[in-house]
Amino acid sequence: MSGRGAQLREAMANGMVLAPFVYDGFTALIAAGQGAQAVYMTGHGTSAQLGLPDVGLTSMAEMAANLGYISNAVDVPVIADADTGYGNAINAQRTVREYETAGAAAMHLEDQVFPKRCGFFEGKQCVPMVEHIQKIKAALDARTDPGLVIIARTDAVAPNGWDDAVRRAEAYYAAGADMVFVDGIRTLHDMDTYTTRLVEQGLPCLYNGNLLPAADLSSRGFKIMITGGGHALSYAAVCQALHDLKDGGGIGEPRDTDRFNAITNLLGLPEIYDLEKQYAVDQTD
Amino acid sequence: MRRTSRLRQLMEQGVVLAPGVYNALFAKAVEHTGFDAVYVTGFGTAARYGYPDVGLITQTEMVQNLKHICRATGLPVVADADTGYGNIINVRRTVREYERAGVAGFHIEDQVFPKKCGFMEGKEVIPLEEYVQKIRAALEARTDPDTVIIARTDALAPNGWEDALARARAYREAGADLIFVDGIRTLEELETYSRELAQKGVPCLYNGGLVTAEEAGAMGFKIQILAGLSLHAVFKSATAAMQELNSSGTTRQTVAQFGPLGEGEAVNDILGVPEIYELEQRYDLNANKEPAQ
Repeated sequence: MSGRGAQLREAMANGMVLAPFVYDGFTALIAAGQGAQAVYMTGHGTSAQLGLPDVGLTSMAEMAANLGYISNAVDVPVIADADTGYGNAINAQRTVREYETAGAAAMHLEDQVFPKRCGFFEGKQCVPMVEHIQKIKAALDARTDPGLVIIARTDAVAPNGWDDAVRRAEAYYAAGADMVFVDGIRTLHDMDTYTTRLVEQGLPCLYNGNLLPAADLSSRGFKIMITGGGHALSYAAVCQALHDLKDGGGIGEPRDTDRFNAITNLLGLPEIYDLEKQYAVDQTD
Repeated sequence: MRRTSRLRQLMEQGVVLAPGVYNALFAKAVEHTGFDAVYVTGFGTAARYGYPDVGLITQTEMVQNLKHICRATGLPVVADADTGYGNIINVRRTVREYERAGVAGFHIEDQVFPKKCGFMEGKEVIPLEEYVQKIRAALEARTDPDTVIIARTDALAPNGWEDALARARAYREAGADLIFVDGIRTLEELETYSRELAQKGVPCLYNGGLVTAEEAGAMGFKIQILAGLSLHAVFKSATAAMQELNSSGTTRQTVAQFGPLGEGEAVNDILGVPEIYELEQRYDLNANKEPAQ
């Protein structure tokens, strides 16, 4: 086993992996530049940058393309949102292959009806548990890299309650999923339930949110925490800059050469200049 | 009114201030905040894909991004078209693809392909005569006569003002709708730009925030773009979030600092989630669904 899936497994063996939300190559570079061990490609953010709400309108091809850019940009493992696998078990198999090719270290597949919606939206609906078990098995069979971490996500808490969510998580894990992910955790009470009924029963679990700091999640025994401002923070920051621009009558902030250089360094400009020298053509020959 | 015509109308009314974006979400933010036009940066689009702005991003990727942006906003979109992605023949295809994506105006520069960001070291320009042919080809490739074609010169840094001005005048003479001298770093340079071109009847675009839009208008400029606005905002906020995450395991302070938006709700509103719920009702999408076990 080698590659970034194996790298992620190794990191999880040493403790909880904290993966900040990223939605493009630039935010992935910022996260990795600040020392992130792994990054999480959000489907909500990937959709948002295309101008679409997170209700299953973004296609697998668009997700895989974004994943490819992110994996190319950084060396750390990329954990990717794969929604429902974009259809049935057969679609999920193609999704696994495309995500592997695009460089995913891990991906999560959820038990929502296709087309899905964001885990925190109203009106979520789940497919029957047996159907998602088959989808997980299909996904596991489709792996060509045994290191790829397949995470079974259940969205059953909101529509069906905790008993069903726990039953599903256990069944998906029994079917061979590497990890489980109960999404839509809104309260500390939910968090306690997640911890006692699944994490403490020995299931490797992923937590999505910011209810508690990373250290607390780690001591509760979670294996992965995905968190951070993501596209919502970027959007807020852009809105703030636009409001400042309006309020200032049109003037932007002064040209910041240090930040410009920090950005171009992060994007690899110094390496480009080195390469230009390395492959320079000697005009005198 | 077509967006190309709208952009021309706006330019007649005064200077058009177009904040720079590189994805559809930020374009929606520009529209929502009340600006009249939006600028799509090649630097930002390259960064979005994880690359520095040195001509690694293809025309296809630019067009793909522009399609999403033009669909997401009703504003006129002014876009970066780098060198036109090759020679005169490539430029013809670029014009058609950009028009089809829905952009109202775009700039093509006189750098050697592959290009570099206007503010980077090591820029090189092609001969003036060659670029004049390129801009002629671009103008002739338009299918919408109102598409605004902006000739950009990068000659200031490598060759100085005399050459930059000679080029700007020649490109305007060849029929370019607007001229864009890039790499303006100081107020003095901006004043030269204004005095020698903008105030002598050459319609000009200014990239930068050394003066307000009102001042840029008074200096004779037709369009002011702030190409780096979103990229800098994202860099600042995302870096702060990562630093907070490293030190305290959460990003709450950073999120609060860059408020006032809470919990991503405004993002979902701007992306049209309420409209999706309305459509679901209209087409009875949830009529017969029972909780599945």
